[in-house]
Amino acid sequence: MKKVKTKRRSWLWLSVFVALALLAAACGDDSDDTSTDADGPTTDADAASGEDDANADGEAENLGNVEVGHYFGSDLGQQAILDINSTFTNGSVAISPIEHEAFKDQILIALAGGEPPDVFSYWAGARTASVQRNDQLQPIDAVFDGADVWNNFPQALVDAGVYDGDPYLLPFGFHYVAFFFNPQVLADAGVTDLPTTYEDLLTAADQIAETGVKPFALGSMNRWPAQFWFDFLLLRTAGPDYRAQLMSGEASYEDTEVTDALELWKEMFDAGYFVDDANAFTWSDAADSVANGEAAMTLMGTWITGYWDGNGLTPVDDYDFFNFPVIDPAVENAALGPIDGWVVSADAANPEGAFALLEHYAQPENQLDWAIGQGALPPNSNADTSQLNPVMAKALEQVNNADSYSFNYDLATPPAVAEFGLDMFQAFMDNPAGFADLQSDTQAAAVEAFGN
Amino acid sequence: MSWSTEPVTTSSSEKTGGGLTNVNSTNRWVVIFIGPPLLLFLAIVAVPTVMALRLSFTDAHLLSDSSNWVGLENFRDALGNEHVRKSIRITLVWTVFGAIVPPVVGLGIATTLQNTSRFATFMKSALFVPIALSLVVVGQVWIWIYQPGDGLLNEVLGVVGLETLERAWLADRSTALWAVFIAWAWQQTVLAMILFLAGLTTVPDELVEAARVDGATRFQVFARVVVPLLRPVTTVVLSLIAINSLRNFDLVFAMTSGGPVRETETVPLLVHRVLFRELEQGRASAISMILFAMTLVVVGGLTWWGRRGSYVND
Repeated sequence: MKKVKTKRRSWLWLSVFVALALLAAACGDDSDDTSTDADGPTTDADAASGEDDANADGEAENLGNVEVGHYFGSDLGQQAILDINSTFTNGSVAISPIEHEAFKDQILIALAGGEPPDVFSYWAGARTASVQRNDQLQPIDAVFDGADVWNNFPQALVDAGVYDGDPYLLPFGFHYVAFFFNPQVLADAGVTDLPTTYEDLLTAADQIAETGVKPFALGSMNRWPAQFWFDFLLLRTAGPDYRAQLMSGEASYEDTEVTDALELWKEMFDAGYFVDDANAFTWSDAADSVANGEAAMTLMGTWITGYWDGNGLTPVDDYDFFNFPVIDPAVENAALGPIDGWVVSADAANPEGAFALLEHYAQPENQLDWAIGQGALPPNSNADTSQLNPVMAKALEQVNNADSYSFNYDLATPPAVAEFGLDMFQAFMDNPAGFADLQSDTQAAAVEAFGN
Repeated sequence: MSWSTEPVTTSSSEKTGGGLTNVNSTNRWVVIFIGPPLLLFLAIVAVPTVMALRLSFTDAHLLSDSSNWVGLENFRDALGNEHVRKSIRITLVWTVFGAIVPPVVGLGIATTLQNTSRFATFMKSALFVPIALSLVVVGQVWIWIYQPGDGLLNEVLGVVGLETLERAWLADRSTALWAVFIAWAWQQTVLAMILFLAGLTTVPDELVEAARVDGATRFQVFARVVVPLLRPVTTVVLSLIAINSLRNFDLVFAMTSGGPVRETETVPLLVHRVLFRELEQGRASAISMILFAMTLVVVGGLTWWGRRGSYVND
């Protein structure tokens, strides 16, 4: 009997031991996580190299490890980030690339959970404003002053980084949305002069369609690629000022300006210029169809050049672009596109290291390296843009010649409103004939969202 | 039916007080073994559920620390919102068809593969594969099948002369929901089949033989003997599939992200949109609570149905 009791007691102690071991393992998780996060997602050599540089330099202050999250998907762009980080001498960098669409959710989860990376890439405009207004970011005056962003960047890009009077976002690359085309397809269709007016565009589209090729590729499965059509049709007919009013809730989606823009879009759709089933494809599918010659052109941002370069296409020979044509000569020529930037989390564990890294990212040579890899334009005016390929150099020229620069739709209006607008564009691609209902639905949703 | 009619007798050790020691000892073991999982349940299920319930009565914003009590406003807004009602409708339609298609097909396959021939054994193993796949992988496979142009389904339709039926199955608003449902049902059918195969082994051969001796046809044996005896496992199958229907997120997100134009936006996807796109945590919590209530009603109803006609209880 005594033996049995002893055995039971042994089991009891064993159970308690196992429970305590599990508990200890669970409690120890946090500290382990920190070190894993710092080292794990990083290319180890990459994280180490920054430290090595700092040690070799002997003068640079080592500010420790900086955690960075970003959404840059291009292989060349990712490699450029790794190369840029390897020359950071004030500490090491642990970098976590996240797929573009997944990043939109994951960064919000990290922010809401109070465990964001020190630094993360973000889109200038309404998205950054939404996060900044909820006290999730910290001002980066030190970066703007240290790298003299105030004077080294064009005013429009400086403004894109300032929210409520303080700098929060360091512009890292900006894009230009235009018609990117396959030169061979246009040549085969006899389109020798690139369209500069809306009539030219329709004539070219007719010529291309006659050869059996769809003039316009569009992959609106993820909704946002369709927004550029709405953006430009509205910008070219109603102008940037009206569009700014619509984006801020001062104008209505049921206004005649919006109706006119959608009517033009519908006319092109009815003429059969768009690929079938646009909602079944992504923007990269559309890019592939242009590259393969199945479609002539796609209205997309300059990041498409990074994608094509990564696939071995040659600028000018395999792809080129032209500006969205003038529809109403009385309306100013606005350029359109997103600005990618870096922000520092309010909960950053290493703010000093984060500021130092952003100052490093603001340097002209680093901005240029990344711009070339990703297919973007460098915001720093001191970047040696002669190194850009001819297509990107032309894009930079177009932006410089534009009367104004506007954010694309989902960065120009608050996220809660953009949700419904993006739905409208996808629904439009499904059934353009019903756009009047879409306008009233979107306006009702916008009123509610702005009200909140 | 009671398994024993013997009166409960009290052992001498219990009369003398030794039983009290045994009871205490038993209680201690119960606490040791039930305690940790109970604590885990409280930590990762009960507490978050209560927190979500509390949030559903506030105007909490995902990125803001402060929130105000708004009472039932989120629930009123949600139930009055056309998009929420549409998502609930989609989820209920999905659940109803989910409760019919996979169990019926799964039972049919299980009955067919019940024998022990080599072919049946091979097919059982082969059909087991889909359940081992993640829903995201299942989604990717079916995206290829539904691909416009050169997708497998359109290719097959072209080969058999049905070109007019070719379409972008996942982008067409009239077919997207059913296209995703079929992909989901493909996997759930295997789940049903596995459970029914296990359930069929519990059907006593004597009852089947007796029915046959009484002149019952094969269909009558199946419908009047086998199916009623499978009621407990049917309850499990229906409950699991109903839960999988109601919480379905991964597959739809992987295949359509709720599109085109919200045609496949189930309630879990709507919660994701309201939380991560519109950042309204309070409203997202209210919609989650509605989904929770739907789950309780459906699973509770199925459990009641299962117990009501079970041959194995009492």
